[in-house]
Amino acid sequence: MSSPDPSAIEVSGVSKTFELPGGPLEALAQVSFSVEPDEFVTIIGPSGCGKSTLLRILADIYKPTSGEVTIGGQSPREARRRRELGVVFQDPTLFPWRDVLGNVLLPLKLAGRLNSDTRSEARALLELVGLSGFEKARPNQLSGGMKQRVAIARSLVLGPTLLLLDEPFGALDEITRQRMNLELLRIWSETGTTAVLITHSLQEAVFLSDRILVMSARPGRIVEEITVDLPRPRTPEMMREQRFYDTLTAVGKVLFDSVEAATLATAEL
Amino acid sequence: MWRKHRPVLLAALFTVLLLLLWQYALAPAFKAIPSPTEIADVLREDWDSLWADTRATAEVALLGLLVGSGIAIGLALVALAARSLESAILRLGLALYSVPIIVVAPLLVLWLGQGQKPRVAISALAVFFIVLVNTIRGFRSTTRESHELMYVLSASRLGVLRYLRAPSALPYLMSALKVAVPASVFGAVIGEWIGANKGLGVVMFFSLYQFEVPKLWAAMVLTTAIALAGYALVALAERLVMPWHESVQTSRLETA
Repeated sequence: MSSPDPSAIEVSGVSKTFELPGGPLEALAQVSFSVEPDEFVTIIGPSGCGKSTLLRILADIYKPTSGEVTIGGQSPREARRRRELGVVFQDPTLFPWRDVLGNVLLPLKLAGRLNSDTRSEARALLELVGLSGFEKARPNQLSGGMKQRVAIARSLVLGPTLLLLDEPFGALDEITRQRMNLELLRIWSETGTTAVLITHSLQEAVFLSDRILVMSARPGRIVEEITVDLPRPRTPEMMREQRFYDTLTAVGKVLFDSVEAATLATAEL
Repeated sequence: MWRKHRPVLLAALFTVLLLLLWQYALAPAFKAIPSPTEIADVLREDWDSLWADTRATAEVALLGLLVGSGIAIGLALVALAARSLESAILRLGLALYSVPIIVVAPLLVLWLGQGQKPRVAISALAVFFIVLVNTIRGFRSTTRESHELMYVLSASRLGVLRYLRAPSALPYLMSALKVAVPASVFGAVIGEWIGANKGLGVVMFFSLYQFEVPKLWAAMVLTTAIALAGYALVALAERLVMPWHESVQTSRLETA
């Protein structure tokens, strides 16, 4: 048997139920999908559909109640321990007591890999995310977009094979968000990692992804899988093409149908 | 010029007015209140012995601050490592802190003898709980996402402590120390009342019984000076160890 590519993800029959004081909450029900090496997959769904829970299962922060996840043939735990995961949260989660470079160096420090080579790699990453010259800046001196760039550089500094992005631009304004999407694509194509992005923005999903997984709410399940038929590299001009609109409409239809179905189901109760 | 230094100039003006009022209205009216010049005379005449007493009190207060904070930080670390012990530690701390110091002080002299030890212990006792509560709270002042980040980065418990919890606790610790400095001086003076041969508490005690009111006030001025100097040192340290913190940054904006 040939060893699987380390960046491929296999999720099969994953359910997650949280035991809350008010009773059990079924966040995910029988979620299955796979991600090819070097693919950019987006998971989209209404708020509260469990998409962040799903990402946290991939990142080994939560354990699934049932089902199995493998990342490159290993468990998320092994992938995390081998430092093959890069995670970007919605909140940049920068440490205010460290300067920009210090924040990017933190994963190297914790992994015991800090040396002059990795240090210059970290500087190169800051350049890649467009922040050269800001090494000594404090996080609270940066704008929201710049903070998230630092978080992206930090997630890449250990050379992960899988990049997990949990609504990284959710808190940014529309203009900054568009620009960050372009930057993210450039960075992703230059680093060659597999990427899984969580978002609730249709435009973002279509513009960035090879494939979109649409989730429905309560319990979260994948209702549709849509392949984005746009060539790479993607350009802002593509967002005005008919193909872009068609995909956008298709994703939107599935998304809103599922929301409506859920609303109706709730109304019947 | 006026705009830039207004707070300082206003404070100076207010102080001068207060001193004038004291000198020419308050002191002549009340027998137990010596005038500022009388206090200054005592300070000048007895400076050598008063300075020795000031140093003795400051030393006890500093040692008390170090011992009290050290034990408090140590216990906060224990509470962090074993969460189940946290409430027990806090309750014990509260119980200790709730016993009036003036009651414990003679006991401590009985146990620890006549030297500097009981005074340091009393001062440490006055400081300990303030630092304990704030350090525990500081260790807990971290966000869920920052812990998730450290988890994804496979940080060890020591790594989480060093790179996340300790820096998060620093602002809380510094605030606690600002309150703890005057408390440590208070503890030192109480200790000296109970039994000592040197220190501002001793000066107060004897000048009270010999009705040397200006000297009593001189000791008060020096005690206050120790507490204020300690506070200033902590504020300075705060700027040095946490220049990143908002409290430091806004105060910079205000003085700029």
